[in-house]
Amino acid sequence: MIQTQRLTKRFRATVAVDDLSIAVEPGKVTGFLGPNGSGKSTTMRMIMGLARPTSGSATVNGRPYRKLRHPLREIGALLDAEAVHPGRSAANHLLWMAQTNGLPRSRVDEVLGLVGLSGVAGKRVGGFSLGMKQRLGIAGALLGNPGVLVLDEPLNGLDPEGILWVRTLIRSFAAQGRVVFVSSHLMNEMQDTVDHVVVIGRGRLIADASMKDFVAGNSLEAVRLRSPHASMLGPVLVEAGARVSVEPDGSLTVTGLSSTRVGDLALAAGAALHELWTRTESLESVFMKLTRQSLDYQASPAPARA
Amino acid sequence: MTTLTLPAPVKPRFRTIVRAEWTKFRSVRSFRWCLAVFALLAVGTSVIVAVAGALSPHGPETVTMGETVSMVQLGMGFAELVILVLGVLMATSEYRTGTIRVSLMSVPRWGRLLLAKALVLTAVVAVASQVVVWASFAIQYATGETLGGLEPEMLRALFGFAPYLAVLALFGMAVGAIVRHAAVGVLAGIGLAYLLPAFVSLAPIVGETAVRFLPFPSGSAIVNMTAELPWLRFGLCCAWAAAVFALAIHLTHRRDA
Repeated sequence: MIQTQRLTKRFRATVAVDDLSIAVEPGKVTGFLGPNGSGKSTTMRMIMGLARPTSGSATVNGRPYRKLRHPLREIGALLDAEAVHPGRSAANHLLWMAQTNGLPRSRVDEVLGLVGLSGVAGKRVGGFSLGMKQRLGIAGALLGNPGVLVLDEPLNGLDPEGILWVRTLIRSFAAQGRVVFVSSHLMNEMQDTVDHVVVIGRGRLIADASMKDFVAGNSLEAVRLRSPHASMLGPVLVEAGARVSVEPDGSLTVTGLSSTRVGDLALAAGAALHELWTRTESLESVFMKLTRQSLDYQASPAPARA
Repeated sequence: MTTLTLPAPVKPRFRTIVRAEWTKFRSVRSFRWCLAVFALLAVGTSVIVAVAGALSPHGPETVTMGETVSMVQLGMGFAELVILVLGVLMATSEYRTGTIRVSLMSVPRWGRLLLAKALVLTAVVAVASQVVVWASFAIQYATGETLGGLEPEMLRALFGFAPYLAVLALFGMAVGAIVRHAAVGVLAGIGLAYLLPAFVSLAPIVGETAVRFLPFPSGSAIVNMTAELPWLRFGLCCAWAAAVFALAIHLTHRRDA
């Protein structure tokens, strides 16, 4: 398990991570989401012992990272796929890592096979594509067969097949009861993969909830309907506690009531329904809404053209 | 994913970290190139001197053993700069490529990590220096008429290259770990080794004395046939190196990677 307690990191005038307290639990995939520059990488570097917190603490399995004796056996991380010496072969890169933690040489071949790099084991990393480097980085994270996996933007640079592969891998990792902590600045690439979301903006915690609660709590679902009696039905629905807005085409958008309830109310009021459907707002738009106020750099809306 | 069992964790040993550092060293071409250039400069100088002697119209000159040793020293003098650069690169290449983060995550006791790296570096440099010195000496000895035998101070000067260059490499590595940038590290190393003594010696009255206490002039006493108190002065150089290395460890702990 990964825990942070009031974790804070200040770089001179800017606060990169601000009083962040989270617990990343085993058996599920936890998405760590936020726009670029929101402090995700800094948080991960503090968890991995690479950066000192200004205040607060981060622990892995109850201990600060620097107190772990065989860290690769407890926690595997991919922070930056480019952080490999280009002159070294993939196998030698993993070999020295394995040696530091007393792992057998055979483990290097195993993880290379696992990530599909066996064929280029002896090739120098300098000639690898970003996707291959991501795979190598994941191989390094898996080397010690750890119970905790930390991946910083693991889908960057991957082709669709690679993205599917990473998703399957992290899902299976969580299914085995391990801790999986995956960051991304793109909400929709995580939508189908994560069970739990931690959202930060400007280093501050914005949301820490199960995906289900996150979706429900942000009124992602709205009921849409088309009716010849819309003007009569609207006030009825409002009276029942819904929020109703009229779309340009005359249809209604109803939030706060289920489609079943809307249908029943329409029948009771004698209003005909020509269409009734549930529209799910994309997570991306919720994410944008949540983090908009905490964006450091934001494009101003394009001026409307006449 | 396959489930697998790994051998039970053993107590972390310094030896395993040293082995990992050796793997790092031998698996990168640029380090081997540094050693090759080092050998080429040192032995090459000997070869040029020998060939020049052989081509002279009077044939090879008869020289004293002291002169033969001086020729070896000449070549090593050219080559020592390469060792300094090798030391700097040993540290800065990890920062340049970002590998340092993987290293620091794999070995959370950072002092041990730097010690293991220093051990591999100094051992490699000591062995390489010893081989190169005696190869160079053999070429000189075999191609000319040499009068007299190896006096104790000549032996000390020749054998002294291994510890002297090992400490020089350690200096380079420590400076590299402090500045974390190859070009700056090489400049700082050259500044410390060659420019600082030159500046200090210009100082009025105290200059001549003060310069003897600087790391490199004191360290090179061990490879100087006529130096006074060579071992004591070499010890002073080791103390300097230890201090700079300790600073490197301290700063590595204090700074974010």
